[in-house]
Amino acid sequence: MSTAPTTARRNAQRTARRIRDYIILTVLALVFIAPIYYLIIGSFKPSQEVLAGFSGFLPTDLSFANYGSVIASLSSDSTGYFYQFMLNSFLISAAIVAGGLIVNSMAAYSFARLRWRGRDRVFVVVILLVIVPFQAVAIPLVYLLAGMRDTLFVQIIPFIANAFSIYLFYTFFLGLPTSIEEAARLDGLGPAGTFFRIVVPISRPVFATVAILTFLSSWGQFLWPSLTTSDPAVRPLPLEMSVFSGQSPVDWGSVFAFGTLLVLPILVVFLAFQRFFVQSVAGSAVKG
Amino acid sequence: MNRKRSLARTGTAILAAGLAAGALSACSQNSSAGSSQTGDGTGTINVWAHQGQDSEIAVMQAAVSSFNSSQSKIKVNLRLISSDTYTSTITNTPKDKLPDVMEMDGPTLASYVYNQKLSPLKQYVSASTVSNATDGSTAEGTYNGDLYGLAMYDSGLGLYGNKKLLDAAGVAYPKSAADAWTADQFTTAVKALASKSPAGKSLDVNESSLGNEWATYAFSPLVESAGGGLIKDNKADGTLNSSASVKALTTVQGWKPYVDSNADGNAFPNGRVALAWGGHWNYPTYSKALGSDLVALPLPNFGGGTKTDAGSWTFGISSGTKNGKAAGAFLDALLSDRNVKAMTDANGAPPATKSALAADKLYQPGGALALWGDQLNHACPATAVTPSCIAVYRPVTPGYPTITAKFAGALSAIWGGSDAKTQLDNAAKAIDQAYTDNSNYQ
Repeated sequence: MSTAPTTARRNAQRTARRIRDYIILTVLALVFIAPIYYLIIGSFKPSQEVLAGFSGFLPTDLSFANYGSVIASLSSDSTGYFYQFMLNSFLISAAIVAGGLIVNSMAAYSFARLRWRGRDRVFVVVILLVIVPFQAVAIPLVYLLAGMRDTLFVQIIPFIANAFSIYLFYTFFLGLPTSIEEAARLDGLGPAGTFFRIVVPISRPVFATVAILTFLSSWGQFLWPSLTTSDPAVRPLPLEMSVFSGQSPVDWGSVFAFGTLLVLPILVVFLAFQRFFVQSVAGSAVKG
Repeated sequence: MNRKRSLARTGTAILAAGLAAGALSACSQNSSAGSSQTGDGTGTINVWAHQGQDSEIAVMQAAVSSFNSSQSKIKVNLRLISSDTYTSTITNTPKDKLPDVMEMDGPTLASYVYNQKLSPLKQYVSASTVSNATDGSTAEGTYNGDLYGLAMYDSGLGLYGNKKLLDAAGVAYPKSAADAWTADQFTTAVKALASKSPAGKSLDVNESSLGNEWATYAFSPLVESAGGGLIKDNKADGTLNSSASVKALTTVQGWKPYVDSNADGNAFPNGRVALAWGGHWNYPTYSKALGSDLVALPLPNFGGGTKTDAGSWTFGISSGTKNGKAAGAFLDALLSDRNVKAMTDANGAPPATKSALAADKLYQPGGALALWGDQLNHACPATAVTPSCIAVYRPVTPGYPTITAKFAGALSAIWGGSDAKTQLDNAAKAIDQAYTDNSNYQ
């Protein structure tokens, strides 16, 4: 006789917990989505309405005028061209991602699987490099690479080898069963063959994670290109954001439009690799 | 023009660039000095300028286009770089990679001379161009007795007042520099105006930029007026942290309860505050919003007469040019009345050439900013700040990036509630240490 009320009470408690969880999740979702929504809506609104309090969130008076203004402001030989900046950013980011995946995964595999003298000590040094902020070495690098100034190359080279990427690959490779690799070696594959033909194909999640994280950091580069480039032909897109934010009065509509154009490729890349990224994050508890 | 943002943004850039330049100054000093070459006055030259507002860009592009089409011997390639990254870009560009002609923010000029990136101008530009420059332009562009920079325009700084709100509160306001509010009168006016404001605010000081170059540009005049200063004889101790400086910034600190944070940038044009600390770049927006209710006022007189700041972007010829003659010819053309007028019409700045300034109605008697024009006509000599002079140009010294960074940091902390004496002592100590470390930048 007493089980029915108890079950009902448990169901009620479960429902209450679920409602509470949904409320919390909804609030969290809104907190994370609001800035992106505001950025996109603001990019279509007249400048004077962008910062007009809560009404800035409302989809009123929408047009593509801000996008036209952004393109028009970067459309001459003296200012450089928007498409050129965008292309530069793509080339730089793609090269860093591609180069980084090859170099860092091979380095990590070497640390995780190969036996060589001093391996552990070198690995400790590599891990220590994670805590060195790039700003600390930026100025010496400027002068070391002075000969490459105003090239795409100078914006790529310093960022291919990355200690954090090596660490991510390393932790993933350690978790792979060694029996597969041992079988490959019994079949006659050397370390390189084992890595490229066996390890790489089964490590897609970590490659996707590193690719996304590397793309994010390289796409948003500001300090380094501002130190090493002046030629519009090689400058990346983020530097040009200041063309709009550095004006008085600030043209917030154009700033938001530029921000949207800057963010879109990141969203596309993330969506393309989302499945692998989530797999890897869930598997290795990596913070993205 | 984008002077306000330029000041705010380039403050950070100046600091970063300064640190970089400072850290590597020994390297620069030990390398062989760049030596410009006259060339034959023909060929292609490169020109770098900051990318300001669209109207400014159009004028600059038109000036270059006009020059290129007016003759066939010299071709100018113009490169515009965004304001926020401009100073760090030219600071970090090796001198042999710099263009023939480059624009720079006035206060940074001495650091480029120190790092051997600039060439004296008089050997390349015409005597008439030099003689037509305003005293302010010449003062800002001169270091160690040589002229390295000439500007198209200067800058004007003061208070904007909303006549309607001032009258409604019964607050009398100054009509001339000689009539400027004293510190006490200004504080009283701010309080009276705040009492009539629904939000209890009456003043906009561009609060969000108090940690940047704006701090030095806008508030060092008060320190000068009080009898203090930034640096004297390569030493900040005893000047920057003098009792006069401390008292002045303590007074500024007391205004905070009446200041609108102005997050939306509309505090003054929307009538939320009756007074705004601002420059000529605000004029187009403010005059459009307030019309005949807009009045331009001098900054408060803290004892030694009202003072204001001045100076803006200026042009120089790099030490690495192989075609100084062509670079000089371009500067002669760029600083013609036609180009200067077009630029100042576009950005509202006071012209930095005598002939264009004389013809500019905005800054001449009867003009809306005549009072600020008069301030520039009473520029203080580099050697002394006297009660009768008004416009004080920031120190022309390679150590300026350190000075402005430390002053801005101190003012920001004071504004946040820190003790003025402590903050200015720390700033003076840091500046003096930088001078000691760099042998007084000799």
